[in-house]
Amino acid sequence: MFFHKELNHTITLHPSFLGPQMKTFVTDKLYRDVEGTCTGRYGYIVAVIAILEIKMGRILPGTGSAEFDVRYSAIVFKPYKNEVVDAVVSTVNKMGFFADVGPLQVFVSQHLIPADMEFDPNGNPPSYHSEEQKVEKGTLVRIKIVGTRIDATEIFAIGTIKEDYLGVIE
Amino acid sequence: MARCIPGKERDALLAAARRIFNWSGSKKLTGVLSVFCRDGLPGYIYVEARSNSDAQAALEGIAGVQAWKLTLVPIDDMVDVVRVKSHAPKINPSSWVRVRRGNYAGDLAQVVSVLESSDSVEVRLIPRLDYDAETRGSRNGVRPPQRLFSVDEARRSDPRGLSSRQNEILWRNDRFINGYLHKDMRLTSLQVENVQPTLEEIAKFAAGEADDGDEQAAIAALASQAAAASTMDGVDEANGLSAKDLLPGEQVEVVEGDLAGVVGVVRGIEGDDTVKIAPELGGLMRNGRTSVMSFPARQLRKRFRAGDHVKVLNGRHRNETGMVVGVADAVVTMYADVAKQEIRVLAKDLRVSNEIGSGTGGGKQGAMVGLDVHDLVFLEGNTVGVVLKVDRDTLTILDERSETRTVGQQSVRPARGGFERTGVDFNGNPMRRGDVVRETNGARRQGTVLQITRFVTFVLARDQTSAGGVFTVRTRQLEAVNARKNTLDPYATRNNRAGNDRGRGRGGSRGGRVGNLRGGRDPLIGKNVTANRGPYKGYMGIVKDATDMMCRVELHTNARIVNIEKEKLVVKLPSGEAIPALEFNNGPMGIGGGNSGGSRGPSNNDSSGGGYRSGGASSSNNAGGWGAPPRSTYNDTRQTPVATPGSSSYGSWDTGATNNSGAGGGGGWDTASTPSGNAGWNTGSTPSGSGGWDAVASTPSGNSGWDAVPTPGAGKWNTSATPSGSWGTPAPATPGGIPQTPGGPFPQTPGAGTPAARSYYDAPTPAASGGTGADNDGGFFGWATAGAVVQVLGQRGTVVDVSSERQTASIKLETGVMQSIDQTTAARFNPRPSRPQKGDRVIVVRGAHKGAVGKMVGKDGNDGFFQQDGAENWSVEPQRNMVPYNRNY
Repeated sequence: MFFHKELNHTITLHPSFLGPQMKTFVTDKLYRDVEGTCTGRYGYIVAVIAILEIKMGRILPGTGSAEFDVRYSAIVFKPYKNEVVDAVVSTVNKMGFFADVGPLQVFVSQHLIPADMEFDPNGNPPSYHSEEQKVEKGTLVRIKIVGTRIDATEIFAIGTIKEDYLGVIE
Repeated sequence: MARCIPGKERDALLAAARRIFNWSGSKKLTGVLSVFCRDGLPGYIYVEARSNSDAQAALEGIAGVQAWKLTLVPIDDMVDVVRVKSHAPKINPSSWVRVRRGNYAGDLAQVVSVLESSDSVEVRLIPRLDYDAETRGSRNGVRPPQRLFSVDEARRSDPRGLSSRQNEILWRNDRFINGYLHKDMRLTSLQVENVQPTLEEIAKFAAGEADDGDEQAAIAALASQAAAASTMDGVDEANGLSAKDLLPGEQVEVVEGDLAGVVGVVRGIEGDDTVKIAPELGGLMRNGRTSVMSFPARQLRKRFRAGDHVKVLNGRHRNETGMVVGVADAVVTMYADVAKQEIRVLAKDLRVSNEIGSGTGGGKQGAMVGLDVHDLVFLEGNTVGVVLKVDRDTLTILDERSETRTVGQQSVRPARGGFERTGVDFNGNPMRRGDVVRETNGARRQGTVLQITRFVTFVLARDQTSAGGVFTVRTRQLEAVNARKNTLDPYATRNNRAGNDRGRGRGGSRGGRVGNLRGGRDPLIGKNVTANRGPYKGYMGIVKDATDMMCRVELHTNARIVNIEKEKLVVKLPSGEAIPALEFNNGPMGIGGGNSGGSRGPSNNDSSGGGYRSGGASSSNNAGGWGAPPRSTYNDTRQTPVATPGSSSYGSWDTGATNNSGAGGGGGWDTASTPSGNAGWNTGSTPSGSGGWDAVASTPSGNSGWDAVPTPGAGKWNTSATPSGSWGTPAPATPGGIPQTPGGPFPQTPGAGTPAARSYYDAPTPAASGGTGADNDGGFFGWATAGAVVQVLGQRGTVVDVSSERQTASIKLETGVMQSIDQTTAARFNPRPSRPQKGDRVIVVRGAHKGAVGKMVGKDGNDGFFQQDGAENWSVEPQRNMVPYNRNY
């Protein structure tokens, strides 16, 4: 699910950047530091919407670097169990297939693919297909997330298409 | 209780029973309730009856029983006699057992039927037959492998021994059905409890039916199916859950008995076998809440659902973790986190878990070299590899040629310090671990850099399943996927330059910069540390950057980088030893120096060290210089050794200086030029750290330190004039007017001053540094204010009040004693200001803010950051101007 979330980040700026363009550097560094990262708590930080406040910098004794607490708002994406998402299939193998939901990778095991869909290893590209649908690399599928594993820097999910209204979407 | 011939109990018992049955119609023996004997008590038979005569009648005349010796069971034994022995393990058809002895010892067997009224069962096994050896009648001691019975081979070696009956095949007294050996075995030769069949064994059993392609399978296809079904039941049995596998809070399902299908949560475990469960079904609620019910553990099965993150507790995949993708009765299929493969595990061997593991390794289970998955190792020669799997004593490794191989742990050498390793990619940009890269040719596979060397890079691909997702590429054939130039890297330009004039070496481009960057990395960087004080007390982390006072520490807990003072850190060595971070610099790594002045000193001396010598060593011309300045000069420059407030000290110093020159450098500044003096200075640069000057100032070691100027006058200044001595301030080169920070990391070694420097520093007189104002004259009475915390005679005390004419003061010691001090005793008591710590309440005793009360919010070398009460901002205030303030004296 996507959220609009206010977050904080502390930016350390080398003294050589402490000058007239300091704010720009702080902003640049914030974008660079946080966009596209993943925290276990909030999920993927998709995009920074606005920088709400850059607090007064604080020089670190000894290094001369300055620390800025920045408050910003961002769009975050965190997958939840039982959430239904649309995904693009990236890999198909005999165990199942992997699909990407933006930055999130979802694995759909063969156990969670309807029994009437068979794996065709000799196809080009390899695919799972039944009479009415075919899952191969690049297919758009609708997946229900059945479990997530959240590491410090990555989220991994397991999904299913073995329920009504799930599977290939046009 | 009657005596009986040992061994005849059962016979006698049956005879008695028969008699009682015969007479049951009549009224004769109504009094007898039961007759029994105990295996554990040979030679006795027991009759339960209302009266002695009834019992006697029941046993009368039965062979082997001495009915006339009937006695009452002793009261003490009564309970034991009738106690039913703990239940014999129940054997059901299709349950699993293990063979204890013989050719099949240890093999898994399945009970086919229980033979009534005997202690034998019919089991089926996968035969271990050596057909030729059987025929020859000789065994060569080697146990043949488990293989299903083959009619062909049997016929070839002994056709006459082969016969068949329905779907059974008889061969040399053994019975085979569907290739399995069926055998009647006594229960005593079977292990019935704690069988714990592994999935592999069961699979072998089941596979026997499916894979057997020969005629026999064809003949008995139908029977085979039935057997397969029973094998699935067998899997249920294999569940074999025992109470010790369960923890409160785990979800279980009842699979046997009246309540089969009930799902619940384990609430507790009673004894060895009984599990208390709170069912989750509403129908079992009583009075609005679910009652806790008890079940034998074997009736339960752990319940998992797709998506659960689980950890394997036992078996081949022990310690692996993954997510459940499918559940088929007791068999759970999970997608392993690290191996990126699906594995099948019995539900009883799983537990819901959040951790992520990779198998038996993890450094705990005999991984003696401390290797973990994805670590870089050196193989034979200079080839490298990355660990894919750590087993008890072998490692699975992906080598430079993308080949997976299994090696012993001894044959690899772990590569250390991986965070430093970088490579250069296709476009000539530096790459390091964690970068997202893509192949420039071939399959254009993409992934994150797992390990990098100059030649090969190991990349972890998200969507690849072979070799745990890792593949090997030549470093030069990768390119960064998002190669944004890091404009915010302050060293970006420097790196380039370093690349261009690599030949010039590092020192050249750095110039004479003074700072901790000189001489390479701080040895603390990359070390595991724990904070032992301050707001981060107890946190562990890795040092990412370090200065002389501070470390930037990446916390283990939440991947945050925080700044922590070095003095609050303890370095954790792999050996488990803990070393304070400040000492670590000099200590165990043997990286010499660190902050110690000894190794670093020489480079500084050219620029500033000479200043010291100029102050005092050239005694002949300086003596006059020192003697000449007005008193105020001395008083102002507290840092100088001659900062004597008293009138007499003026002259004393003079004497001291004269003595110095006479003694050829017995003390004072001059010491630097004598060997003994050097020794004295060196105390300043011993591992006790950056406060080098302090050490000198307080060194009692006679002939070299400040204390050592062998004149009474000098002694005087030492005591009265350096209340700030504990600040470490006597030294800072005031004669030369150079703002050295004595607390800094590189105490200047005065010993190596050059003549050139001296001539330069000869010029200014000590007075050059003077003129800081007259606010701090008069030693203790110059700054003493009520509330200031001082050190007196080795104790802490608080100045309670100071007389208005600043002649007397009283100090309350921490022992509670009040101590009065006046001008004459001040020298003896020598009250010195305590040293404020960061965050202390302080009062400013000198300078522009004199009298201001506030807080020291931080410090940097000699300076502290002072925040006055009520003020928003803080100002820089020399630390020596601040004294801890205690209003509640």
